[in-house]
Amino acid sequence: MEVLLCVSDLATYFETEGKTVCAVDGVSFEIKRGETLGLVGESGCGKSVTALSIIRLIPTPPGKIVRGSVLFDGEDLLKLKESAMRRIRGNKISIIFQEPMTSLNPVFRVGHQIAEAAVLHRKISWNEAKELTVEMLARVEIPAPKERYYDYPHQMSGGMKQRAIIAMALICNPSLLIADEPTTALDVTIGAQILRLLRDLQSQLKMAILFITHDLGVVAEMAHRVAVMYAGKIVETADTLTLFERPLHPYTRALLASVPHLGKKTKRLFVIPGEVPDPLRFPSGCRFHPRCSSASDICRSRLPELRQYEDSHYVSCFNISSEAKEIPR
Amino acid sequence: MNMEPGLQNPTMETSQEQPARSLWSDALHRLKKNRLAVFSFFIILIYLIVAVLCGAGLLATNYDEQSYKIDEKGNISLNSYSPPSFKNPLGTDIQGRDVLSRVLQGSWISLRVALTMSAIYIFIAVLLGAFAGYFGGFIDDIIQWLYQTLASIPGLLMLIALTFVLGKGLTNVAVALGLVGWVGLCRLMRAEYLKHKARDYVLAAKAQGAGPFRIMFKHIFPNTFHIVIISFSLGFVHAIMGEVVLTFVGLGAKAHEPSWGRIISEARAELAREPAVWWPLLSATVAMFIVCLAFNILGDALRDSLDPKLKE
Amino acid sequence: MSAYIIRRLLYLVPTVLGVCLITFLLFNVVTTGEAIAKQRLGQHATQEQIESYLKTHGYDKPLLIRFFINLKDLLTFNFGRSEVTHQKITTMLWNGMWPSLSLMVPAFFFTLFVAISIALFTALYRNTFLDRSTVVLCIIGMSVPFLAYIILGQYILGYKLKYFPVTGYEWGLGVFKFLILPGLIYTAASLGSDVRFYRTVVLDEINQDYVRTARAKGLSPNTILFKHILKNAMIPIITRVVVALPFLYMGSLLLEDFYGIPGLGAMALNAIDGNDFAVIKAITFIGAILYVLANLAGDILYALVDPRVEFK
Repeated sequence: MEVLLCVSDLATYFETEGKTVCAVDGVSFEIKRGETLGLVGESGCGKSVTALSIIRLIPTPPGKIVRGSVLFDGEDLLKLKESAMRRIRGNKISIIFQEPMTSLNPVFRVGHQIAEAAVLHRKISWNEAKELTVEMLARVEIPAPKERYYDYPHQMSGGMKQRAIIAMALICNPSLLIADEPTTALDVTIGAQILRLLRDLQSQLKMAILFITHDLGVVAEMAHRVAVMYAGKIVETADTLTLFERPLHPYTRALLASVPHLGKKTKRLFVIPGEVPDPLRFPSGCRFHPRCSSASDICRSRLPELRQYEDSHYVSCFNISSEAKEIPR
Repeated sequence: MNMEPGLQNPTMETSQEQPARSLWSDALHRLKKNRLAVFSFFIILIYLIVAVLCGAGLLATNYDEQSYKIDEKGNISLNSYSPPSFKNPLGTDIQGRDVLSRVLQGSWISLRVALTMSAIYIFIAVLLGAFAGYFGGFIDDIIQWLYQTLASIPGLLMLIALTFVLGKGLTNVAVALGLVGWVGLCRLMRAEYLKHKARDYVLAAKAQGAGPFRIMFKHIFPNTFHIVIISFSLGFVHAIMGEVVLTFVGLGAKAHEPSWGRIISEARAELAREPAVWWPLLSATVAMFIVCLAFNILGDALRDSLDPKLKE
Repeated sequence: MSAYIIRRLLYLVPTVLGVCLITFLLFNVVTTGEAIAKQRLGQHATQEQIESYLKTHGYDKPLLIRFFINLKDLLTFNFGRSEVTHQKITTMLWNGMWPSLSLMVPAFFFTLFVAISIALFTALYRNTFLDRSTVVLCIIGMSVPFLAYIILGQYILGYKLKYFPVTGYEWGLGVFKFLILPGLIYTAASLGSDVRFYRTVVLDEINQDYVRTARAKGLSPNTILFKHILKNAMIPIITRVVVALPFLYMGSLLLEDFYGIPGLGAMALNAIDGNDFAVIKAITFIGAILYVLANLAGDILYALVDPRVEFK
């Protein structure tokens, strides 16, 4: 399959009060057409900043993309003029956010806000856009879409709003959808419905999805491939199945071990010792070494590179070759 | 813009157990970094020292002394409207009095007005705000009705009417400013008390058998004190500006009192003279401007560092 | 909708009664009939003169009866006659209204337009040097006393440079030349606090999630600012405008006095000079009623702009 998005060595820093926060610090990954890449990590590891950097919505100042490239359809988004970037946003690349409750403008009708994107990018009349919007509302399984077109956001429930936001994101048939924790703010059952909807829509519309979440269960359900992020860097990427069966990086393993399993008798739930490092003062060497049980001298002094382990399995850890075959659960 | 939660400085979150201490030390830390605010603070300190020295009769005591001059023919006359010179750095007024001394004395008058006003309005606002927020119900309804009614009479008119019936004079101006000015702070206090009365520490105090007054003023009040401080700082500007307007309107300082409002009001006729007498106007205006600017900047900085959510 | 308006009108009843009560208390309890009589008739008035004054002004009746008479008079806009000019006060109010409005309405809306434009402009360039210097200029502008704006503006632009007439008024379109200068001074004096307020409003909106959504949609900054943000910002803007509207009717006391505009502000000043209690009372009451009505209008406008307000 053809590569749609190729992010390489992306770094985004925030300057606050003379200090620099390296939110994203040299991230590289690829997404192929029609594929879903899950980007997982704890909160604060730089997942959302990565997403915002790709479509260049980083608040500047204080944020700044300091290096790297984002090739989308062979074109470097970071080199585009702002006006050219605007033609891509909401058109070829769409993004949906975590907070459906506040993401819609409270004083405009929901239908109008969705149609606005279609009028802008597809150069169609408001009447045509309205028809398209109603069609799209039906597609995201909002009942009575014709009537709902005229709703204001406060008249919709959270799940309904997120559906409307999905409709807004997909109205121009984007080839890439960035979903930044789209279900975190919702009830579990509603969230599950939204996930199913996204999967259905993906197979209908053939778009690629960059799915950002801290929930490994959701990743297993949604993603073809997974990239694990820690402290502004990607520490491991692999096919979803491979990652869950043979996690290599100590962090990935710890993350998997901390997920409760239904029906399995676990004595105690594993907890990763220590805390997510302060992005103002990352530890030297491998950023995970203070929390890693198998850290050695080299881990403390040098930063490991992301290296290929198997076909599509990459990991950044000095200890992998020796330890990889034994996988404790 | 939503930032990653982890990017926020964890120390910014003040724990509920000891909100007062961490709030104040944190705010002080942030205030110290704001150089403009520190500078304003020193300006205000100078203003306070000058005002108190004037009030104690240690500085600018000659503010009411007329001076005389002798012309070539040996006639003695009032040294009226002498422009700034070495002897009178800011010149003299119509009666030959030193403008610098009068402007300095004006700081004492403005301080008196501001403190009288603040004492009155803060007392009313805190008391009523605490009662309305803490007790709720009928008491709250009455207090809300009271401040809504008061707020619906345009401020300046209410001030004029009140000073008018209290009788003209500086003290009554200050009292009127206090009686009219409590609504804004009262609203804020009410909201704070509403918020705090359900907090754990209040419940704990209740469980220990503390009465409502003890809870209101010993336990909750310290946690709302920063709002009073902010209001107090910005209130100075109101008091100073209010004195000027009411004095001009004829309700405030009397002719011999060297208030800034008096000096500015008199300047109207003085400017029209030939050559124009500009120094009293300019001196009083600049003095007022500096003090008001310093209070505005400090008040803003206090608000930003103590309670970023609090806006006009 | 009409049910909503009726409900809001009913809310006004306690406020209007409150206003009546406050004006009554001001002129009957804070100050007494005797005090007023002495003010009016001078210190040397005989006991008979005072008693006849009290009688003609209804002060001989018991307090409660007086309150109801007062209430009836206020609610029927029966303010009586001025104690100085002996004109009917309603006529005076009517005649004074037009000069006040002719000065204030254009000045107010011009200021509003300029302030919002600057606020939007600085919001586009937020966190730049341009934005920061605007904020500083605003605080500086707020710290200059209004009287200084008036006196210096009149002196420099009117008296020295002769760009505008110094004072004066005429009925008809020719009045324009007399109104430009006071209007501009009003704008200059209000701009600081206005720009700061509207800038805060716009910045509050700019940081909302829906703005990020709009950007993610690919909308241009202009569309986002002038369509999405401005419509949300209209809510606080309307509130502020509405609260200021009654002051347009009253005119600016100081501006009218300085520029010789025969409006209600000048009328209020004359009343203060002449101890004209009836006029002060009438102006205070009318001001409050207008304020209350303006608030009602604001609530209705508010409901039209904000779909979240329900007409239940």
